[in-house]
Amino acid sequence: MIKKQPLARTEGLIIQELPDEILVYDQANDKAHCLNETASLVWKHCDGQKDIAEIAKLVGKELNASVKDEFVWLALDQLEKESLLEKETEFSLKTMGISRREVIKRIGLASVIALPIVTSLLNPMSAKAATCATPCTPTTVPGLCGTPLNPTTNCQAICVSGTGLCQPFP
Amino acid sequence: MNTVEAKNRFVGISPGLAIEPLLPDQLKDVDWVTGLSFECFGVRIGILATAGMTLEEIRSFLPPYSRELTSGHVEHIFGVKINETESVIFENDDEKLRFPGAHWVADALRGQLKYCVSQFTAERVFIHAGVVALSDCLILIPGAGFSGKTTLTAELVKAGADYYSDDFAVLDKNGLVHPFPKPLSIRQSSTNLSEQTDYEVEHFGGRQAVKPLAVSLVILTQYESGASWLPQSLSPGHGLLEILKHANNSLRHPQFVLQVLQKVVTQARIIQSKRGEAETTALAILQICQ
Repeated sequence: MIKKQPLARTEGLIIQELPDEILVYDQANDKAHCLNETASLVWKHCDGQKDIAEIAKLVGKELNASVKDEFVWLALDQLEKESLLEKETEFSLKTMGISRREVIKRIGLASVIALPIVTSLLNPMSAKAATCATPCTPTTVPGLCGTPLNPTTNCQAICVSGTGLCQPFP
Repeated sequence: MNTVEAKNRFVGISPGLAIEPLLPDQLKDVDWVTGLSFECFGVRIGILATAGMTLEEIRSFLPPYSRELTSGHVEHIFGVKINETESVIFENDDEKLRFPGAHWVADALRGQLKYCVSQFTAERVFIHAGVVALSDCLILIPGAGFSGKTTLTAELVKAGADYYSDDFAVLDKNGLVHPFPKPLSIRQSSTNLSEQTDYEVEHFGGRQAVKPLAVSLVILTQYESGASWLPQSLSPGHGLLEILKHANNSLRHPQFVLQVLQKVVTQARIIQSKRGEAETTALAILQICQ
């Protein structure tokens, strides 16, 4: 049964508190997430006991501002998308049948507090190995593959005989 | 040569290296003539080489802060096979690199050893970065290959900063950056990836730093022809995400890396901008420090 009170996931996460932000590293998928101040406040109140209206009230009190339920929905939508909520809760805007644009409109563009934002990054050290392992196209430099080798990671790579793959070349 | 012979031969050439049962199949039946084992920031590595590479050469490839081992096991073994037509580098049971001739093998082995340490150490955080300091203001310039960090590092040194590294920022658990001395490797051409020329820091009128320092300034930048230097401050969280991209051991030791980077981003100013020519950017960066 889907719960109506959001519950923050904690297992497998490394959580680093920063001034006005939280950095979360998910060891299950090697993704790092930066929660801005307002997303952090919402996430901290996701204890599986409080419903959305209660969270909105508490966040509003901490920020000394009026916070609508939609504001909390916007945060929960991102937290859920990044698997930072327990699975027995479901809070995506999609299930609500409203768009992100509509929610922002309801919150009001003139909102005095920053919208909740979760910025995420797949640890490129895991991506690097994967993206460098591309089929070899040896160039004029013996053994080296492609120029530029990878526009995303800019990793240098070298053609490994036998495997037909490029491997990182630090 | 059978396994026992190979083992004895290996122990003979590298007495400090306990290989049982580590010697991978790929490395068993090779006529190794020299080798050594070493430790660097808790990572223990053995190196074997066939004729064509001397022990002194191998010693010159070891990363800074390495010490040769006289006892104990290693966790990684590199094998270097060199013959008249090609060179092959193995890491444990994997063939890592193969080159025509022996021209590339020194740089490649040096790079592989450093890369191995940077990925596996749990004692230091290794960030791919250029690092300099002006007085006590330490400037960290994380960046991927081809982002222009060595060029910028060289210009900062020319402008009076002390040199820490153009390769890795090596941070201890308290967030202090230690010098990681190596010559600055300047690429001669953007189309030839491997052609680099090494210059000692004195070539740029600078000097090697010796004192560990906390990070004062993080510069996130990339060269773009004609770009203007328009610095913007980043929050600690976003700064940490950006630095994490270049932390080589973040995959194996995320908790340790994040704890150290937390110290960095809460004490340092983090600035992001594209940049044009390195000379003018260096002066602008040093002004921020001053």
